[in-house]
Amino acid sequence: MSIFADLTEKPWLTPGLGVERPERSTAAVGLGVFLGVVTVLFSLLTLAYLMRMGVHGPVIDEGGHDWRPVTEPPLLWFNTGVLILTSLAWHGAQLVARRGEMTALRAWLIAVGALTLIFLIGQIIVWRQLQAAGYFMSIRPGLCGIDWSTADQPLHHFLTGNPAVAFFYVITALHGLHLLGGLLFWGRATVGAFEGEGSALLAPRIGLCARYWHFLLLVWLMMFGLFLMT
Amino acid sequence: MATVTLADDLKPLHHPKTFIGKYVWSQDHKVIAIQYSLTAIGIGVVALVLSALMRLQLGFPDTFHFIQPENYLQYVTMHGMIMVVYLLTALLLGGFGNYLIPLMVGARDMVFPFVNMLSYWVYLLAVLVLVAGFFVPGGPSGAGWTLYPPQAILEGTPGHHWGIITMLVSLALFIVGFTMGGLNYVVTVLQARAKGMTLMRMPCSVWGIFVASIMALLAFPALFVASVMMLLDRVAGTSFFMPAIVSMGQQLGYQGGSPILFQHLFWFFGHPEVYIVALPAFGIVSDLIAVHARKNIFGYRMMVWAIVIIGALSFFVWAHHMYVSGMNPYFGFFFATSTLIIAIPTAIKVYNWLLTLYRGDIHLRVPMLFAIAFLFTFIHGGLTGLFLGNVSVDVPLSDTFFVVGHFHMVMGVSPILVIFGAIYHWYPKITGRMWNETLGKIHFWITFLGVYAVYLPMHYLGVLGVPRRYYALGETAFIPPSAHIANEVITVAALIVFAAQMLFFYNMIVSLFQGPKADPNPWGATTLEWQTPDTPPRHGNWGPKLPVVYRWAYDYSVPGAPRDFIPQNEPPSDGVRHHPT
Repeated sequence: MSIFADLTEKPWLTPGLGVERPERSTAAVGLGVFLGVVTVLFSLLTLAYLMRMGVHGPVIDEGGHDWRPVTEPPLLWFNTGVLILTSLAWHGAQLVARRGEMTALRAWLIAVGALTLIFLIGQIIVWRQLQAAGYFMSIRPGLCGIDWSTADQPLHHFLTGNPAVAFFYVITALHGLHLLGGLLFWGRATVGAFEGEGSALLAPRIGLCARYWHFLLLVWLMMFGLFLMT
Repeated sequence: MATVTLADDLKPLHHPKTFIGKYVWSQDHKVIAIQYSLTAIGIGVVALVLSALMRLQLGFPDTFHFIQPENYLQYVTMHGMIMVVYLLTALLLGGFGNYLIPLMVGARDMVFPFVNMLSYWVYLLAVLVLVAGFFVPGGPSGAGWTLYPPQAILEGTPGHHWGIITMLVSLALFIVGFTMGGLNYVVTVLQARAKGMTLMRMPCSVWGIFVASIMALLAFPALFVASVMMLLDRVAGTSFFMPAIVSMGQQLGYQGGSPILFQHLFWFFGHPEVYIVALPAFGIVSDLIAVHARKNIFGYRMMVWAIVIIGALSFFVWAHHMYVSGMNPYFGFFFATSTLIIAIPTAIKVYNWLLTLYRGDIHLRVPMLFAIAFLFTFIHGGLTGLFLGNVSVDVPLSDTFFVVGHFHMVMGVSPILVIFGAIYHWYPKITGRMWNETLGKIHFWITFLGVYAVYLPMHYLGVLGVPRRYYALGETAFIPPSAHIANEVITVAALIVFAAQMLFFYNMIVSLFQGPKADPNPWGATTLEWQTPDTPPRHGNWGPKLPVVYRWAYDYSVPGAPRDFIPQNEPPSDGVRHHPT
């Protein structure tokens, strides 16, 4: 392993230039580090979710007695499908970008943008469906007036104030925000494709965007699985 | 096997022409570093004033009527949060990280200059939101810097209306800003090193900042999650952390939340944070000692490995902050063990610093004085850490002034002493001027002896059982009159140290205009930042050609060499015998 070779070098013994290493793409390394940060973020959310459910040892009865499973709206399956299609569309864009087929690339990029927007709108509709079904984040009016409608309901109302729903909102919101951030880079690539930038310049950028979307799909599948199992 | 990466010498630098482009919306890492440092020091002075106010109250209770109990708690909270996050983290990583990484690894700038600029402006916004807490109705939060729920957002805690909201929003912003900066520090080290700069040829400073940045990227998300969830508990009425609770005779609309969950998230960030502050200080102090003792750092590889190992281990000790929170005793056993294991790589570092000094050609200039002072305070703080790391000793000492004395010694005073040393050390490169040596020495001696006068007695107070965070001790049987005298003495010492810092600011500001012109390499250092064609370095750092690195960072007093140091970018010559180790 070269990392061990690097870290066990005795630098005082070897003055001179050393051996050159093949260059890596800086943007790719940057993305890799960032994905590490996002992984930690969602892992911690998952752990918090499980701990709040009460699955940490002997305190199940104390911690999690107000946790009630949520019936996921069927629309979530549709949204998941859309996100999978988005990843496939990125894959398509990647293939044509490498071959330099600019017209096809533009079509794929528009497809990506449209599918991502459909996913995000779908998630917002899921939120509204949950709310319509009586799943609120809290059992009391918050400071900014969220959920005033539940203020007069009794504390033991079986659907209100469910931490599972609160986690659902937080996790989907953070995931959606990451997708929105990705759309910035999608926008730059798309503008580039329409202004006729060369595919040599575009292909690596599209590759990185695709990697980011695949990663967010993976995160989503993990989180969706977590919601379904609990 | 030695390997190198080629720095990108072909990418054109963005050269702004206007004043605003050069100094305000600047993408130059050196300007961003100075922006970060000045902002961090500015907010740090606010925290310093708060500590002076706290000391006035503790030393002379019933004297200052403008300090009410709730004000005192607000001072405690803001002082702690500002010092740990907004001063130390921002100054060591945002300030020194930004300035030193590209210069020390031989790069023209950070790899993502625009994101780097954005990082500073988001940090500034975070600071402004934090400061806004002083002006909102009810004032800033008084929940203690750990912000434990449920009390942090309950009535009765100062600032539970708005102060806690500005605090949590500010923390979330800080983390977003830091992530942008941290990406730059890590990727620049990985990708932009000059030709010949292998990982093991990097100076310890870069290693410390590099590993601390990786840790911060992994640890801050925990604080982010905790902040966002607590913000929702406060603003949207969720029950992530809030249990069912009766407050002021009223049943609140919370149920089932877990305060312990918050503590886990907070300390999963909070403990690595200690090392996020300490590792850059470790790295910098290694370089200060090597340069001013004219010796190669003893056990360079061990020093680097120790930094990496401490960084990794520090993610497995967080619950030693929670011994009294109600934990399964077996967890206490695990966390006490992992805590004590960290002492091993840390002790390796301390021995290696001492062995570097041993028979060195020591020049007791101001940066070196601060570096040696760091050894005292760090060993001191580290040893009291061994007490607190053991569950059975921690339980009686928990929440006493012993803890205050311990963590101020180990992660307050120690990094600050290194920061002073580092500022004196790199000031000639940053500004092109020398500071006044006599003023610097007076500043050093008052600060060093002063902090001992402040924090050493606190340990005794803690053993007596004097609790921390109390506005006033009042009439208590177990606290003898001598404790009150100790508190007065501590306050007087703290005010003297406080005043001595004005000498530092005076020295730095006046020298900026009247200091003698500095030599480009006044200390005879080997590392690349001293070999720039201009002092202070211009935008792009290296003129037309990037430096090429031929050797490690510690070729001091090499037998047969014409000078007692060989710069890293000097090609090898025949007459020089290399270190016999």
